[in-house]
Amino acid sequence: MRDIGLQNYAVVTVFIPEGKNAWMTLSYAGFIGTVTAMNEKGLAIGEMGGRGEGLWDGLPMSLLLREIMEKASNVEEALKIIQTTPRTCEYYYVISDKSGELRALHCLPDKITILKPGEQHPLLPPVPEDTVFVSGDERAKVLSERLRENFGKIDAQKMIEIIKRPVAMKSNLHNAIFCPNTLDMWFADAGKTTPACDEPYSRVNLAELIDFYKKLKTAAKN
Amino acid sequence: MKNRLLHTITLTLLFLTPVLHGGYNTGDVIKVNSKDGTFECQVKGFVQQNGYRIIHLVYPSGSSSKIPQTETIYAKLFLPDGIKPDDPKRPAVISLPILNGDENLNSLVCATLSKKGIISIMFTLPYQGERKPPVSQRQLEFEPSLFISALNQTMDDISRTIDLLSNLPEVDKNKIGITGISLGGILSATVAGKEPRINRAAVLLAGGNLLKIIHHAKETSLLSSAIKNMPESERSKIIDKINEFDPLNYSSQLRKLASDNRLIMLNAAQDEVIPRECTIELAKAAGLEKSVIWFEGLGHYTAMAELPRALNIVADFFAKDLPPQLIPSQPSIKNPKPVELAVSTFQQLLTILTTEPEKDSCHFFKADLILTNNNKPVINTSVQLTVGPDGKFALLGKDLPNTGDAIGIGHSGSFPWFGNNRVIFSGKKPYYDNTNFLAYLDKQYILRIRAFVGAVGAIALVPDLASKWIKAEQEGENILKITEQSQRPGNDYIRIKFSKDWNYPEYAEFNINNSSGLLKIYAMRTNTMLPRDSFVPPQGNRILEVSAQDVNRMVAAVANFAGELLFNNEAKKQSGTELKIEAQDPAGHGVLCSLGDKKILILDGTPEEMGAAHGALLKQQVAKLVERVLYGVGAVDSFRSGEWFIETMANIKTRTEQFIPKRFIEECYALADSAAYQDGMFFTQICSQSVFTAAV
Repeated sequence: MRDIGLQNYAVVTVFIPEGKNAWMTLSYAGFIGTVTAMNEKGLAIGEMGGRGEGLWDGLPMSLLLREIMEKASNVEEALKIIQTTPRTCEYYYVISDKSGELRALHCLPDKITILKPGEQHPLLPPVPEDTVFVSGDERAKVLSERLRENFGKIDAQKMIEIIKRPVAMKSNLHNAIFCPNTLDMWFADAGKTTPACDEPYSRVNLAELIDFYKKLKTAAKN
Repeated sequence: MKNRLLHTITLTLLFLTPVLHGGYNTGDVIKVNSKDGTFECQVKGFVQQNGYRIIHLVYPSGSSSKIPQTETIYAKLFLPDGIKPDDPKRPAVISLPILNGDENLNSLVCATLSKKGIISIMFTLPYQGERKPPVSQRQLEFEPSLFISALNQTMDDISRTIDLLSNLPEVDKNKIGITGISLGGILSATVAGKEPRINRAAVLLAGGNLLKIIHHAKETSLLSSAIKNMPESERSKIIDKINEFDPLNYSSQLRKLASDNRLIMLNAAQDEVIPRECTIELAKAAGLEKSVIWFEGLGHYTAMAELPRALNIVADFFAKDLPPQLIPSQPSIKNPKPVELAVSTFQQLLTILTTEPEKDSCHFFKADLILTNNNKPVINTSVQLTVGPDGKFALLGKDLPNTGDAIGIGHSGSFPWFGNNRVIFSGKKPYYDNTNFLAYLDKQYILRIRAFVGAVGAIALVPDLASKWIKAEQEGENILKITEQSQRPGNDYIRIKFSKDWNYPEYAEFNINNSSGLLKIYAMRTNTMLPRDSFVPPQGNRILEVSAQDVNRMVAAVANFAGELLFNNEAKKQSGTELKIEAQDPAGHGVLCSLGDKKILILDGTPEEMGAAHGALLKQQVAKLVERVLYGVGAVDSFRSGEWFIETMANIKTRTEQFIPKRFIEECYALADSAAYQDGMFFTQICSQSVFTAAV
């Protein structure tokens, strides 16, 4: 989708809904759902599309993920929402929280496969301990190798290197690296002709953004 | 005694000076008498063009700037061909360049004047080109004193150049005119007002109140800031000096010229550089407020769209001073030069693509295209374009990649349509939408295309100038090879085979950026016979009647995307760590910030409040995104699937709506209301799911 120039309308949006979790999404002007997000409780989620087109009797994926951001505090609560909500099409997710819990999911409308940290799957190359990932083909192999090579020393900067091509696809539209403990997000958007993984990253912190906004509102009231 | 000797030597030299009536040769020296004495002008070389000759001249500047590089004037004298010794003297025009000294436009002006039989001259401004000192040229942009010094020297150089023209045997010294564009136009007006030797002036894209223009134009923003940041005492001195160059000071002489129809002003109605009120101020000062020629709908840069017209107006204006026997008859090009053929062929193609034909006729283009990339065939297709009057057109393609075997897109005159060999989406409902896709095209792309077409049209007036960018040579019988001037031989090229009478291109072979191919041209005609039913969809396909507005929006979305790819250069990346507030929601439920080149949107409140703030703060971006995702993706999906995308989205809406929490729907519609979209916004949310399925 980099090819259709969606990156020209990229915007990091912070939603602070009344009575619900505040959260931020790496998104695009006019989208109210999300595919890449983290909330104030330190719950982060990312998505990768599968097939299953035409299975539309449920809550569209981008709004399902928003529902999770606004209502769940941790991986367990997120899983419960996914399991109990009518779903559409076919998607893969990775979910993590600040306690260190993480899961990889494969979701069809009528079936969910959940992988725990370090759990192997016949369709995936070796998965290191304390790790979940979702990827395919040659990209998955390189990702697995890079994760194992750097195991124990991965931070945001290292992860930026790990997900460079060929782990990222040529059409790589955006990347976000979430640190649920600190509420930091490192992110990059695709350029006009370059994948996001080759673009410079920026950092935002959800707690700081919420604080900035609250101070702004207080100042406006005074 | 000494003075007498000098006088005698000077007179002798004057008699020895060649009086060749256009026959200037390299090494010749022209002695020029001026009010300050005599100076020498050296002929450094010449270039013969089709219909005129460019003589390269060098002579000393009229003022000493203490910067050696600026003290020599490098000028180009444009002399029409065929000047005879017994010809009456003819008018001459000084042409001044735009602010950055770019000489391409100036060359066009001079070459057009030459074609009308008028002598003209252009010279490099101080601090530009060969006259650039080691200091950064950009210093002119933020050092007010240097800017003033450059203007002073330019005025002196103009005076010198008038001296030179007055001494040329071919020139009628009482018929010297001046013209210029933008800053050149402002200075032309000033010179016309203060220099009694100027007989005629054409002032393009200019205005009065120079200081106001400097503070307004983004091109002079550094200079403006520098002036504003000066200590008060220095600032008032600089402002006084700038005001000395303001043409508004010379209204009396300008009025005199205008009252004799010897002053004209041509301006862009939506000029973003020269404020309209500044143009009107100058026009009022000159008594021309009712006769400014306005290029409606165009800005300072897009005025290029009217360049051919402007050049003709200016040339005709100065040609009024030509003695009747020197007015050239219409030239007939019997044996066009290769570069002229290249330009006229390109112009013909542009005419087909961008203009409407005359009543009851059409433009028609039909060709097969075989495109290879690194010797692998990528596209093997046929294209046929028919352009009719009143917005009617039909573009048919066969074997295009990813779109089905055959595709078509058009407007019958009463409804728009597009489709492939499986289905035609015919925009026959609702009937009240009688616009076409042009109504939804981004205006900036339309203006830029018009400007490009205008530039090509202007070059077509003087095709030799295209030699700056392209090299065209005949290669074999009726074959023209075109290469870029800057390219090494053997790299990119276009080779066109023409019909025996050179009137029609038959095929074009090309190799551009490692893509090579063959365009077999069956027809390329402008204003030709209009066949029946040229603009209705091909018969025999399944026809789906759909919304005319949606068809138009889809066609426009694809065209706008093409415009974005073609015209929008990627903005320079700016990293940043500091949040800067760009805009705040008037209702107090959101703020839009920037972090370097990134946008950060923060929203709070109820679903309606957040949706409204979202729409208010990102209205334009939301509109663009809906266009891209819903109509752009929708057009491609409709082509591929044969199903009407909007209907598919409506079906999905029906199936998913019951599962969507009410608060999301409320937020979505509040966003739609605020950004002026209705169902489109809901569909976009659903559509985004499909988009992201393959995206991230």
